[in-house]
Amino acid sequence: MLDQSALQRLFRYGFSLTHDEDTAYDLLQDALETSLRKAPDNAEAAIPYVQSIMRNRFIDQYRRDHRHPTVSFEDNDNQPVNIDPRVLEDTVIAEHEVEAIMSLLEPLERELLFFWAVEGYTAQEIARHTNCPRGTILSRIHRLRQKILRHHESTDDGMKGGTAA
Amino acid sequence: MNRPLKQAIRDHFEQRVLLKDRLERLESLQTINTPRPTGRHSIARPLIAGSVAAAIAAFLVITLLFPPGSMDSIPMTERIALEVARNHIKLKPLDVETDSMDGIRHYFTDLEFVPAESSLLASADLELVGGRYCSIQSVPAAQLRIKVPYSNRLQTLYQTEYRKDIFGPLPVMENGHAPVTVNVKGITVRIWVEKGLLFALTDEVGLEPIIPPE
Repeated sequence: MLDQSALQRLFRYGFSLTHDEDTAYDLLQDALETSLRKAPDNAEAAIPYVQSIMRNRFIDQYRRDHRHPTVSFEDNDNQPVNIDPRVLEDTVIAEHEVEAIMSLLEPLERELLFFWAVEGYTAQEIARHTNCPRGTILSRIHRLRQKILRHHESTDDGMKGGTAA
Repeated sequence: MNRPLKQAIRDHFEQRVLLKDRLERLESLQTINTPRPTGRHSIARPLIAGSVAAAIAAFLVITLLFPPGSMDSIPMTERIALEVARNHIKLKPLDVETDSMDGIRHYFTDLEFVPAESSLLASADLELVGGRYCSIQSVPAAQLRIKVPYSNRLQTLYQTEYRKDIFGPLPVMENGHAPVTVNVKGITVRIWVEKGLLFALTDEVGLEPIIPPE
């Protein structure tokens, strides 16, 4: 059985995908209803199991809600890139920019940030958890950083930082 | 003020917290969903007894620390109807698409009951569209989607095992009772018990009812 701490963790994961607390709760409840009898007893094993169900259900729902989706969930961005996965580590933003940045990100970009900042995963671990090639994750990190930089330039405020040495 | 992106993102997520009622609901969902022991000489019995004692203790602590909220004062039929209506309005994607009860029974193998047809709906000429896993008052349930042919409108039929300890007394078809009707969120919800299952059916207020009144 998942304890309160695990449920909060899963709720935050749901929020990373949905960017809405009510929808995140629904997503978590749905996943629990579907998965409980099959989920591993061990909480540490159950969490990624429930996360994978939440992820699949979110993507299914997104595709149904958006007949002409602008967001791609396919691994078609696996071109070789020379990116240091630590580029995000040195990025600095203004306090008030967080909400705006999260609003302009796509679900999988927010998910990536969640895994990196909250769960403390490396690019390799994120790749394993999301069942994506590492190159895809690195591409997303690159695009994420570009997006954050562009947002900074458009607001002309608050962000500094560069690639790690 | 500038701060590292990582810390800012972490704080952003940590501000998101499941509220107490939702947390309790998810915990309850897991507790009820835990498979019940079936063996006569289960070695887990002492553990279960301990778990029950712990659950009772936790319940007492929660009850003392957090007195019952407004939801507890709402009759169970209204609570069921509210939950059913709320989920019906969302019309979430189906887990399985099938037009037969055999297809439904074949898919819903993780429930502690076998989905069944209701005699009340036998003459209603409804088309089954499919179903998805869900819960009512934290009891695992099957949510079936049906189409009403003459209007093409979609309705939802819930089925779950009738747990009297959770749902309380409800009208039982076999005893000649009529379904209880609750109007909520612009939707009519009819609730009854039949074949040991709790059924809840949505309908639209103001249109010809799916189940004709007696």
